[in-house]
Amino acid sequence: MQISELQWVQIFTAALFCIGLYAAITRKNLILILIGVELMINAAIINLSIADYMNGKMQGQMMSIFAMVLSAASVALALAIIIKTYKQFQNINPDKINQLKN
Amino acid sequence: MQSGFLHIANVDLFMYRWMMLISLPIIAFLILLFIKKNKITNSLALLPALSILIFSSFHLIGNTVTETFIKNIDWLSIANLNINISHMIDQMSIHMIFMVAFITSLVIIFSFEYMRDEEEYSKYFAYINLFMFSMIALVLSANLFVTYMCWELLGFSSYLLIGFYNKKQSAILANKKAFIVNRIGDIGFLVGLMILLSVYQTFDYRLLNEYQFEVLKDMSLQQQWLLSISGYCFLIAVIAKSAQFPLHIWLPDAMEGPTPISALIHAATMVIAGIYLLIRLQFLLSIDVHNTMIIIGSFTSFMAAFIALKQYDLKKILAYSTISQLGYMLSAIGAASESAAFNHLYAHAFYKASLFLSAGSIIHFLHHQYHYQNDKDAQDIRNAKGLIKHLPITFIAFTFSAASLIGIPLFSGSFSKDAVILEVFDFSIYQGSVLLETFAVLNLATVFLTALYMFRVYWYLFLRDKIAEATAVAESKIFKLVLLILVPFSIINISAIKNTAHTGFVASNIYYILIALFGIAFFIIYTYYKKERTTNNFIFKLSANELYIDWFYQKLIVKAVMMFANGVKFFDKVIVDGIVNQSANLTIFISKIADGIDRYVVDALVNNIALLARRIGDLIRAFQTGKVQSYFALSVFILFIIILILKA
Repeated sequence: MQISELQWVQIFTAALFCIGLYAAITRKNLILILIGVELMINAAIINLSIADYMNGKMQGQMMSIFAMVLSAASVALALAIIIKTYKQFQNINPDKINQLKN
Repeated sequence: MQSGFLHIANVDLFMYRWMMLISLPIIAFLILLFIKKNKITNSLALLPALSILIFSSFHLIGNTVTETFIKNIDWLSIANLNINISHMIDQMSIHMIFMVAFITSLVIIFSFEYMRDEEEYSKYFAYINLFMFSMIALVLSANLFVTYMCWELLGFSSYLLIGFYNKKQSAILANKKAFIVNRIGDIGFLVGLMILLSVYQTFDYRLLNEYQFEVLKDMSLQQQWLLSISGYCFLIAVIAKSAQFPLHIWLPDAMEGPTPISALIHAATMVIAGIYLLIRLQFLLSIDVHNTMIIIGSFTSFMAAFIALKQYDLKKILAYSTISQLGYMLSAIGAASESAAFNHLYAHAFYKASLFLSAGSIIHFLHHQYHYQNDKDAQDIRNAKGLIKHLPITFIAFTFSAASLIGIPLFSGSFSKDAVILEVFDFSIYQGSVLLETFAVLNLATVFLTALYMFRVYWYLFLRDKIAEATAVAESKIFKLVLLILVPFSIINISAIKNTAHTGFVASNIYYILIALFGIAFFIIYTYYKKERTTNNFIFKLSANELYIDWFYQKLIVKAVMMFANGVKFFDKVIVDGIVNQSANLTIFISKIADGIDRYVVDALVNNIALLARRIGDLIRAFQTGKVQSYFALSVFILFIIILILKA
């Protein structure tokens, strides 16, 4: 079976997504979870731009740049929230932050 | 005497005075019951008796009560039956009240000395006051219902006083016996009361007396029969209260009480309540009842005199002599001679009180003398020694009252006893019945026996052993006073009620026979007891063992009652209890089944439903970890599944 170029890239992004998913599920540190989430977003973005590139069009790459900017903004916001959380609980382990439980 | 204090102008006022007077003893009773012995105990105890004595003696001496005064106070009204608290005073009741108050006063004074060392000193006088209240209320009562209440109260106060030495087992047994035997009589009284109520619808003595002749004419045979039965019922009541033949057994045992109480209640006053009741109810008694009374009375009197012959307990001898004299009274009523019965009752009350108080003095003396010799019984006449020297006044009082009891001519007892014997003879000859004539002759034989046992006691007490001992104590002033007051009453019978029939010293030939009998009696005593022979033939045994009557009751009636009680107990234990237990077992069995159903069906259902809910809950709970990352993983997993489904 012949594997095309696009398929190689898709395998790579799928691996990247899985790594990010694993990090987001297993890490006990909010910052590392955030990194995992960012990895998954980037996998999606790479998928988007490569698929557009293969079609010879530019709209997809434009959407990718927008998404990257938006993700950067959301990372800044998420970091701010993490800092606030740390100040509140002296801790950024999601398992220990369980005020909503009970 | 028709003016001044003694003239009864206002009957209401006169009766109210009486009611105030009879409330005095009950007040004294209530106070004395709750106070300890102190300075006022004596005066409080004596005051009611003394005030009644003074009031009644004025009226008795003044002879002001010439008619019957009645005062009715409404009390109960049930349907068409009105029960009044009625009081009636006539010549007989004023005599009785005087006698009761007089003897009670003397006994209370006597007891100041006699009971001095008792712990429950004031309680004793409280009981005496309760007794006096019930006796005087009974005498005053003009209504059978009130009489019945007083009758019960008499029995109760007698019970209290017999058992006054409540640490002595024999006293407790004696008062129980007296109470139970009296209950038999009370049942008779109650049944008689109910029959009278059903026939006449009233309890009033005067109304009963008036109705008697009106109603008798148009009465059915059955009602006449009922009335005769009611007469028998009252006779049973009297037999128990006045200690007549089948039910006399309580009186000798009642001597366990203090001696002054024996003088007051069991000789002079309470036991004559029955005689008094019969005198009041004479109109009710049919000819059959009269004949029965003569038979019972004469037989009792002979039997008691016979038993007294071989007794050694001084008080027991006197108790049997009381029974004997009460038998005379009953036979006199049986002979339809109420006046003879009343006169004998009146004379007997005084001389018997005197005899008993002398006995109290003797026992007191011997008790002190034998204080350190517990093996010697102070009541045993064989232990009496040197009494004439140390107890001269007692000796005089005893001599006079014993002479009166025997019926030595010119003493009070002789006239009344003479009248009784003559009346019974007259009646039985008039009836023409050989049986009654036999019992009339038995009365004469009793005179002989009375002389015999009384002289025997006299000889044992005073004549046998004149040697005095150095440790003796003299009789106290109080004893001397009381006994000296009583001496004249043994000689003169102060009753103003005239005997209806022939009386008097030379009225009959019988008197000469009597004197001859005394002579023979004295001779027998002198020759027989002087040698102090102790023979044990059958007749002596009978007398010494009180005719085996107690033994007979114990063997026959008590045993039968106990057997019946045991039978009932067996029936109760085995059959009734068995049924109850089996039904209980059945119930337990049924409830066990119900328990099984409940436990294994209903509970199981409920529990399993609960378990199901719990399992489901557990399942769902497993997902709710509260951890963000597991939620996240779960949502990703579900997303994959959705994608897979959509793709397919």
